Formats: sequence, C-alpha cells, structure tokens
Amino acid sequence: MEVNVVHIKSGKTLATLKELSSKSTIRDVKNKFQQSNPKYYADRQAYKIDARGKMLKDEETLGQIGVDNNGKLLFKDLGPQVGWTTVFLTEYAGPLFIYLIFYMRPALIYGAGASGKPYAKVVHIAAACWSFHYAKRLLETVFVHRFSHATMPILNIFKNSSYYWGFAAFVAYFVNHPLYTPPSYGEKQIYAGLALFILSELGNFSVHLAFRSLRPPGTKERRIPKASSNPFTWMFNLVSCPNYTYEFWSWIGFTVMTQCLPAGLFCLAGFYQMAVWAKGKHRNYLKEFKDYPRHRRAIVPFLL
Amino acid sequence: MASSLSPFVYWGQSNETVSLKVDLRNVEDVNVSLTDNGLDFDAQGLGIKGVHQYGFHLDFYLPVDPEKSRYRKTDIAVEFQIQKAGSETWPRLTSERLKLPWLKIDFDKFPLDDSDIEEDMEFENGTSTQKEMLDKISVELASKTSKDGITATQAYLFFYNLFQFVGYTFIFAKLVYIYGIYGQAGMERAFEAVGSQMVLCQAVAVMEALHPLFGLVKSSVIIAMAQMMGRNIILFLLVLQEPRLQLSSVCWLLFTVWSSVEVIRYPFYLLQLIGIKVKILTWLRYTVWIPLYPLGILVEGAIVFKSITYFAETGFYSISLPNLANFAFYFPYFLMVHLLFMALGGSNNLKHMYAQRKKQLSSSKRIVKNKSS
Repeated sequence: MEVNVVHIKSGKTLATLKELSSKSTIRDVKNKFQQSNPKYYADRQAYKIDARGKMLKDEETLGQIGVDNNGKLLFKDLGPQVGWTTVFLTEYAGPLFIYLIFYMRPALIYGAGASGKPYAKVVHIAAACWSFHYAKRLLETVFVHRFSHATMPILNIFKNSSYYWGFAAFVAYFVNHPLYTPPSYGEKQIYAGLALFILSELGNFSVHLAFRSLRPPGTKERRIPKASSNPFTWMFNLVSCPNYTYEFWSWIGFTVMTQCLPAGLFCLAGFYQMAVWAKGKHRNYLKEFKDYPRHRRAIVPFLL
Repeated sequence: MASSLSPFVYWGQSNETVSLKVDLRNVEDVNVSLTDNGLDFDAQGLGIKGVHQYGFHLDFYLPVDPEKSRYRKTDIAVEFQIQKAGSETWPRLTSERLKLPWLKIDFDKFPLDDSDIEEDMEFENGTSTQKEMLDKISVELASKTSKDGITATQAYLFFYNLFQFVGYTFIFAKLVYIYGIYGQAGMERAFEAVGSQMVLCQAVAVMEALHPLFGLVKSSVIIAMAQMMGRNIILFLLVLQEPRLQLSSVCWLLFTVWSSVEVIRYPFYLLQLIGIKVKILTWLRYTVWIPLYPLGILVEGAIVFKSITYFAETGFYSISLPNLANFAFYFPYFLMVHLLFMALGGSNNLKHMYAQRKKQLSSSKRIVKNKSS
C-alpha cells in the first residue's frame, strides 16, 4: 500500500511512500523516507497520526495504528541528532579532566606560588572521590546502561556539557585553592562525609546494575523495578528512582567532607534536575503499570 | 459525539478522589462509561444551549478505580465522585495538556492549600505543574465576569495604575522643578528630593511582574519580570547602597527618564481599562520610547559601569577567601556580566517596542494605505 507523509506544521505532502504493508513498522517508514530524503536519517524523523497525540514508536506497525492505503502520517523533524552514548561520554569526560587540571597543575590556575603549598589531606581525598565518580560514570555508560532512545537533539550536548564542565571548574577552583580551609569538625567530618559518599556510590551502582538486568539486551522493554538480594536495592521499596536518591546523597557526602559551598550548590542543582526526571519517570510508571506499588515516591523516601 | 454539545463540567480533587459536576438539569437517558483511564458521558438535558443532547470524553491524568467510583443525578447537575487509583495530587484533570473550554475548576471543591499543590517541578516538555495550576486558576478568576459592572481584577488594576500615575507624576514634576529652580546643582539633589517616592513606586511595581503571571493582564511574564528586575537591581542594589551614586547628577537623569515614560504609560493603561482610546496618548505611548528607551539604557549602563569601580573599592556584596564556606564572590564581576545582559535585554526590548508600535499605530492607518499604495 501507499502512505502519504505530510508535514505536521505546513500540511504539505512531503512524500508518498510505496511498497508498504499493514505489517510495516514505523521504523520501516523512517528508513524508506530516508532513501528519498537522505538528509533526514531515521533518528531525526518523528511521526504522529494526531497532531496533538503522542509520537509513534518505531516498533508499532501501520496495521496497529490504523493507517491503510492512501492514509497519512504526520511528519516532524526533530533536528540534528547526536547519540546518547556520545553525549554521556562527552559530558562526563570533561569534569574528570577539568578537576584533575586544577588538582595536579594549580600553578596554571592560581599562579606560580600555588604549587609550593602542600594540600590538606581532605583535598587529596576529594580529588580521588571526584575522579572515581566520573570514571565510574564513564564505565557505566560503556558497559552498564541500556538506553531507551538512540539519540537526542544536538543542542543538548552543548547545554549538558556546559552544566557539567562549568560546575566541575566551579567546585575544583575552590577545593584546590591555596586558601582552602579544611572542615570545621576535622577528621570526624571528613570521614563521615567520605563514608556517606562511598556507600552512596555503591548504592547508585547497585541500582544501575538492577536496571540493567531488568531490561533484556537489545530491547526497549520497561518493567517494574523491584528490590533484590542486594541490600542497596531495597531502596526500590521506597522510591522509583533510587539511583538519583543515592547520587544526591553522594554529593551531600562530598559537600560535608569538603565543607565547600560551591559543592553544595552543585548538589542542589543536581537534585533539582534529578527530581524533575524522577517525577516524570514515576508518573510514567504509574500510568503504564496498573499494579505499580502505590506507597513508592519518586526520589525522596516518603516525601517526594 | 460530533452531534453532542459539550456541557460545562466543574472538577475538583482531594488526595484520593476526583469530583466532576456536569452542569445539566432535567437529565434523561444518561450513558456513562468509566474506565481505568477515562470517562465517556452522554445524556439529554437542559444546559446552556437549551434542551439538547450533551456529551464529553475525558482521558484522566492518572488511572482511576471505576469499581469504587459513583455518580448521581441531582436537580441541577450530574455529580461524579471518582476514586483515584493512587493518592497523588493531579496538576490537571486530563492526560494530555488540552485546552477544553467547557472544563472548569470547581472552587468549592478545589483545595488551594500549599500542602496539596505539588512542588514546582518541570516535566521534560516544559511548563511547571504548579504554574499550570496557577494558570488555570487565574484564567478562571479572570473569566468570572459579572454581566454588568466591573470585575475585581479591573477595579484593582485601575487603582494600581492610578496609584503609579499619581506617584510618577509627582516625581516627574518635582524633578523638573528642582532643575528649573537650581539648574545644574539641582540635578545633584534628585535622590534627596524624590528618592523615597521612587523607592515606594518601584517597590509597588513588583506587582507588575505578577500581573501577567496571575492572568490579570495579557502580556509576557518574562518581559514584565525583566523590566522590573532590571530597574530594581539598579535602584535597590546599587543606588540605594552607594551614596556617591545618590549625589551624582546621573541619578537625576535616571529618575527623569524613568518617570517620563511612566507619566505616559500609566494613564494609557487607565484609559484602556475603561475602554477609551485617546489617539494622542496612544501615539505618545508608542513613540516616546524611541528617544527615551535608548537614553534610559545609556544612563542605566553608565550607573552600572560606575558601580563597578565603587563596589570594587568598598567590597560591598563581595566575599573573599579564606572563609569557612570555601566560597568567594566578587560583585564587580557580577556587574560586568549584568552589563552584558543589559545590552542583550535592551536591544530585545527595543525590538519588542518597535513591533508593538507597528501593530498599534498602523491598524488605524490600514484603510488609508490601501488607497494610496
């Protein structure tokens, strides 16, 4: 059968795709459209049947949606796209390098006198924690995460990288500064913060592993996450997105350990963004699964 | 569904339930279909368009429990008590963000406590849920017009604009007076002469950023915010804190430029509220900005520029290392960045006013244009 591709805003018919059947998927449609319009690679195309409705998924077939011969699909250009993996690697590599430059070459940042003065012990610990955090994120991006989407709009890579790289410089500048003041409560405070940081990193990693085993390889399936034998995953009983919960506590630990206001601001900014994501995911779970546990919150146990 | 009219439906919620009141009387042949995700309603009754077939369809924001839900017919409405599947507060009734003109908020049932309204969170697609709620409520408020007479909104806006008009006229007149009497030396006495009045009027002007936010006025929230914040940063953060600025003649220039714009803007709004359009005032409103806005931007820029030096000297608003929070802030850097924003915002503002001018002043000239060109 033939299907007309109509531009969602202008109403213009952009193409008439032939040799489709009711078993053809949206992915097939995208590939076909790309053949005659090479600029629009599949990840850049979005289709709807109703202008105010949801975007159609790649796996849906024309038969399932109800498009038959001479039917029409509304086309939207998502703009130039970049892969999720690319974005994550870029945004996480930056903070690793930037912080280490401040830590290992202070003379470059603070002037020639800076390299003479020895660091307080906590400054070394902080550098280790920060580097570990971002190295972990890079490795998880390559080996652990299974993404729902292949791509995102290209501007996101600049937006996200500015955020991560900017805050990395902001925090690194003050923790590695020659005039840095170690925490008021000394070793007690440093090791308490460090303990919270380590436990939270372990928790976050456990949750990422749990998500990975939740989704069969090569699929985009979504299932209700549940606690397993790993005690860190018991957080699932309380919140939908314990990975964000643990991440927030990691940065609280880091802030307490370094007693650095910029680190606190970074923690709060991160919490705000993660709370937004968590609420969205939580709501999607509630809509998708009728039997979703009702006492769970999104990100903060019992509260949010 | 196409032949059915939509009745007015008033909705409210508690943590556990959603209430719907379908505004129809003498209802017959009620057809209700309630599923986990939506409601279909069809009935014959007496509504706003007389006796007719009325119906509507709703997709709910989150799933509901049809088993535990009820509805009943009363003399004046069909009332639904729908049990939510969960116990979350919904920022809206519908699954998708739709504008349904027949769906309204039931103020009797709607809890307006802060504890019931969800935190100000943004979803991936943009607007905050709390803002949505405020938007809806404000639209309801604005549309609660009485058939004759004035709404509360109109009365309030009238007094607001009147207050500002009186205030700025006084300020403008006094500034002109001290220049007339004392000349150049008078310009250095601007803050002494009208400083406190300026502070009062600008403090009250904060409301102007809230008017579009609450739907009292149809204009851009961002532009109103930017205008108000821009001025108030200069007045409260800079001029008020630095005596050298207060004693400078640039203060006279600043206050005069600001008040001369306001002396035209506020009466324009006042007349607009009572539905009068005075041609000369409209022309002034959309023309005096041409010399005054660029002048204002220059004067404001000069003050911020001077402030960089002053605040570097005094160290006011700045904090330096070492300190227990391991944080430093140098206010002059903030001022430099602010100068950049002012340049960007200023040019944006000018473009906006130019577009407004074209729209407002050419609409009366359209007929003439067709004949000549």
